[in-house]
Amino acid sequence: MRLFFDTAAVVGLCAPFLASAFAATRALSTTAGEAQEASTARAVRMGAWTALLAAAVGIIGQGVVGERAMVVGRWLAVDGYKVDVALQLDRIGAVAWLVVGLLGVAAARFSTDYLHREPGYHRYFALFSLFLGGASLVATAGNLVLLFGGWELLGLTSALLIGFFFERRAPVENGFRAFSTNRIGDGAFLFGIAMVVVQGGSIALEGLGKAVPGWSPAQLALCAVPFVVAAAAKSGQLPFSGWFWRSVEGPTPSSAVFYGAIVAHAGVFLLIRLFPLIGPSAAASGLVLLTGAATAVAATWVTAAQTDAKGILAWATLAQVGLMFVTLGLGYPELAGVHAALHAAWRMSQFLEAPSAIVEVRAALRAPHRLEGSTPMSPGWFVAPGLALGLIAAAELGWLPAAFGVPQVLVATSVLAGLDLGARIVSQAFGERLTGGIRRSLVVHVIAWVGFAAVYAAVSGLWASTRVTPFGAIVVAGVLFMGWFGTQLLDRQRSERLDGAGFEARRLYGLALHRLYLDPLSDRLLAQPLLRFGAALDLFDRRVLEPMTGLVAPAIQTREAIGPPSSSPSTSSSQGAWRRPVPRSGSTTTTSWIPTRPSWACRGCSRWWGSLMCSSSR
Amino acid sequence: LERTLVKHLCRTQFNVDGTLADLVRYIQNRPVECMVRQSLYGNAVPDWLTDSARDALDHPTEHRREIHLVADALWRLREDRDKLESPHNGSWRLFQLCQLLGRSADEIAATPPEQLREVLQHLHTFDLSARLPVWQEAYERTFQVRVVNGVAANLADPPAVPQGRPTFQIVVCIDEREEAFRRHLEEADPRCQTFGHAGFFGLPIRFQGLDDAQRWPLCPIVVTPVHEITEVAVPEAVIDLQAHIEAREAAKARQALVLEARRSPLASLARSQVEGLLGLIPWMGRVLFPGLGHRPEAPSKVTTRLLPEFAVAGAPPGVIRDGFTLDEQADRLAAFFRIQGMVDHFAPVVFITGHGSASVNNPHRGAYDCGACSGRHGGPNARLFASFANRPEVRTRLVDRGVVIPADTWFLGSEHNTADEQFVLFDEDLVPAAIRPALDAALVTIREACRGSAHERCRRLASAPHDSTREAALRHVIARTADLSQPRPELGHVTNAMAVVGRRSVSRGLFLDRRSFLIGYDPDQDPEGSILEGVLLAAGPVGAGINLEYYFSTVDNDRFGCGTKLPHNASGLVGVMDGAESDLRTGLPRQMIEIHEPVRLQLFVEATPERLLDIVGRQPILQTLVGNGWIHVISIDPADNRLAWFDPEAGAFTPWDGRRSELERFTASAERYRGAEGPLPPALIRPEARP
Repeated sequence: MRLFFDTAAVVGLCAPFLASAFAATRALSTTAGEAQEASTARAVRMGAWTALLAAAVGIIGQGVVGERAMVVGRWLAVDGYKVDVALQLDRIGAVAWLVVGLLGVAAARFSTDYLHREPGYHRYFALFSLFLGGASLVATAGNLVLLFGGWELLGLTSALLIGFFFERRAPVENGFRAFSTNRIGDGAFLFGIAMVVVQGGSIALEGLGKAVPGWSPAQLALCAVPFVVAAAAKSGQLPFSGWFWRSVEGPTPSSAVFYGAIVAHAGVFLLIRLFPLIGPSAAASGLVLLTGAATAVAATWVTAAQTDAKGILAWATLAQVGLMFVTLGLGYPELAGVHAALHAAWRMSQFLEAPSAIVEVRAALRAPHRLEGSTPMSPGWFVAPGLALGLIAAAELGWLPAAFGVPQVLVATSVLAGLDLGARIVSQAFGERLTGGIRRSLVVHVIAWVGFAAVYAAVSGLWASTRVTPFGAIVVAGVLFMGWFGTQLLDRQRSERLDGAGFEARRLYGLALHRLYLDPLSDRLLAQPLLRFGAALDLFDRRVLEPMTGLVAPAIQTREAIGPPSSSPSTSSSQGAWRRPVPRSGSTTTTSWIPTRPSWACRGCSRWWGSLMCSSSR
Repeated sequence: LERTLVKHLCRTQFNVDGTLADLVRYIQNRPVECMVRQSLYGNAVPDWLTDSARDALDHPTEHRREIHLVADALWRLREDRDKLESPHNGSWRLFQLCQLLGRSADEIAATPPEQLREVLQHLHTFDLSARLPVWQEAYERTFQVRVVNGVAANLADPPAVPQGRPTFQIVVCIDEREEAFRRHLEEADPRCQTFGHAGFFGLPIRFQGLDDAQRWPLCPIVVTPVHEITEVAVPEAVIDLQAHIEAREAAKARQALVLEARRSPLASLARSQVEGLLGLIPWMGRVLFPGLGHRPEAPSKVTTRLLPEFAVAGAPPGVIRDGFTLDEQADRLAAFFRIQGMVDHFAPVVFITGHGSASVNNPHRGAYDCGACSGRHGGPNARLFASFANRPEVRTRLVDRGVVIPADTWFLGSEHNTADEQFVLFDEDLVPAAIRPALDAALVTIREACRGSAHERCRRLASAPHDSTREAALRHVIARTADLSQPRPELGHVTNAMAVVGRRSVSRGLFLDRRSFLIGYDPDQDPEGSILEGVLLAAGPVGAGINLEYYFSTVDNDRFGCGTKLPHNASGLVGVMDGAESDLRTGLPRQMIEIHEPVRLQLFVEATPERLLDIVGRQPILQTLVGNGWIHVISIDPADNRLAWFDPEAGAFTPWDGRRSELERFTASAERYRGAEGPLPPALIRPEARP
């Protein structure tokens, strides 16, 4: 029996990779075209379905053979350090895998017709399937190194799909920005693994928490904080948010599955996975809480000022992921997990329907304005509270499975929705007496917050546990209030801007409209120091190394470039015109820096990457 | 202001003061930069260098080295080009030419070098920009020869049309998508008659539907409508109306919730959890099995009427008013009937059919709707027209204007959905019982034609079932309109290539493969040509507008079109951008023009060449279109069916030489397109002919 479940997991994990390899051969083949589209898409859909089935089987397996770690084979053994190909088949991983599978199946089906006749059809599916494989690996990996492998695949495929339309400049640049920003997170991830190993911890997820009690807070922080940085970079939390909204350059389904769903929530999953490491560390938890709270507030503001459908969705996703970070920072991984899973599914559906934005909002605007006081109470108002009550009853009677805190969380979310709706009904009934939209909205939300805090407390045993604290409630309420208050100000600012009147929230509005000025900030703090560093290296190269090589081997031909050196345009036109002539020994001929550019792809890279090495600072 | 601007520019760009002396000195000091600038703005820089040149010139002082590099590359290119001019260097091209023409080396050796040089010079000047127009002309000429041949063959051998009172008549939009619909109607019931008129049916209105907060113009974009029409529920339908309003308000409350949710992290959280949980399964079903359980949009259950029925008093022109007076109604209808030649022989049922297109997840939805109704559905206009034509007061006034509508004729407004091939009737409850049998019989024919049209469309759609039953085709197109992942809900005007202004007898029985705008015009009713002038003024710019929009979006999709739909990002309720941040993209997306054949419109007009020259000479807009070759005009002489084509360079009509190749004959349209996926040349459809 156990063998069956193990085999299913391995097969499910391999299937997307196989499908990706199949699509990749198609993408690389010169003969594959429109006629092969159907079979490529079918292969990828089969891969996704297999992963989904394996995930479903895995969940059943939890019930039958229980949570377990499973070793497939030895990957590396270097000087006493051993890395196994190991899978961790437990509830968290299985649920995450199920979400990946479900959304993967939906996105694969969606892409089949959506990308029809696109020149990069096979390339898209190869990358998409590779991504599904990477996400499955992240969900099921049994040790940090394997997890890092999946993590890297997410980063790589996401950068390549952002730059899917490489004939234009912006996608390539934004893909590159995503990739280079994620390098920071990935570097931190590797550093974290190294720290765990150095301090004698286990890289297997199973034994991750075992060594923790023996560590000092500093040691613990050294291990845990790097993973927080990795998670924040992947999930676009502050200060790494700059790349996230720029990443909606690929085809709509890839944006949906990456930035609406899986990549955006990968950071949350990593923190849940490593919670035995993060939770006990006050520094790491505090960092998670801080970055999450800051992002939740700021991204809510930015969302309110954006005007494009996908940008709004990207920032709204960040705000919600920020809330998940807050929940994690306060010590409730289960709550964050359910929030992430449901949010991922919902946000992806929104992303896929983003092209409808104009038509739908226009239709809403076209509908007649409601007459004051004439709103009928439709049955829809009572669905959510009814549902919540039903679920509470079901949980009380013990009808719901007691796995993964599901009943509590179901109840929590439903009650939340019910409360929000209820608050609206209250405001419908009493709100007319209040003047002004702000006050009414305030009433609605205060009621909702009190309810939220109460439910939050009740469900997670907040008052009973020792970790608890009014602090958590204050943080959550603070985040929600700041978010709400900012959007109220922004709404007012925007409408008054239209009227031509001034308003004090102008600065806030500018901040939100320009996406917190993150781009210039990261350019100044990250790109420019790197550029200077590169320039210094370049100078060293030219002033010191090049003359030396010139002395040693004067005949070495350096790389090709368009055009001859600038100093002698007319003399070198006869032969080797397209080749940079050999510098005279000891000469200080300047390096030419317009490399051969076959396509926009290279051009975009050379702009960002090349300028890192180029002495002319941009 | 100008001076400050110049000063600022000079300061930022060249780092000199904005005086002439400084600039001259600057230019003298930098001959290389000057040469690059000159080439760049004189369009002498090849595309692959343009960006480097532009970047370098943006900061000339810092990028001197780059400027030099670009200059070198330009210099070398220029040298290379000069080299080609000599016969000794151009031997490869000469060799290719000789191979093509079958000349031997001896012949070439015998030719004096001057002549060779001349040949090479010709080769050289016949470069890409000279070759492309030649190819374009050849491409269009091929198409032109085929369709002219088809029209001539059809005129020479007209199909047998049953005499007597037609079973029903239907007026549809001139849209070329309705060409197939009309053809299938006539095949299903040879005794019906079809007409084509711009889809607003001569009634420019400002319309407010039951669920609209505002009025919308329903007429061609060049017209400013002044007549306001409102859809209002009848008093008897008050209960239905109440339910309808409640449903609408509930939907709006949900919408308000959604908008509010965006503002607060909490509401957003709650919404994501509830919808994520409850919506996941239905949504997955919708993505994985599109169209499953989808029913085409049905009209609302509430019985409504268009009001006001008539205005009591007119108003001065240009002033917005309520509805039309009875005289205005009669005038508009009389003009319409005269254009169509519908002055007698009315069938018991006359359908006035607007059109629209259903699709989901489609920012370019308006591009599929009726162009004569400003990119909206044309149903209200059709409905209004029918309500006018059924009014006894209007009918009496029409008699004075020479149009006699028999008492047993009933007009019905309706709408044809070109995407899911549904046919919706308006005001069906008003139909007199005596008309009912004729109506039911006509509806059977119409539904059959809708299925036929769906079947014919499916042959051009890659994911559609080919060579299947008509039922399956209809099911497919219905599911297609509900598919979130479908960037091609239908193909729109993609096949447009020609237009026929004239009676249906010119094109009836001719398989035109959904390529032709069919604009009804009866020369018999128009001895002076004034009606034709009006028709051409409306149809010429509209037809050419649609045709050229497709033409330009096809020939340069990146510049005149909006590229592929895949990364489009709806922005500011205005339009789409590419990805996260770009300019707004205008024009048609690539998915809409992939199979378009970029030919200019071939406009057939049933009128003598003299009359056409006269009209075109009078109207500047037609002069621009025809004289500059944006549309090709072909005249069909109504008296003897002789064809003549207009040569813009000569400014005169040249008679068609009359040579005609035999056209293929088929018994039905479905026979014609069976098994074919690409565009098809015209063919004759003759049900009686047995192959």
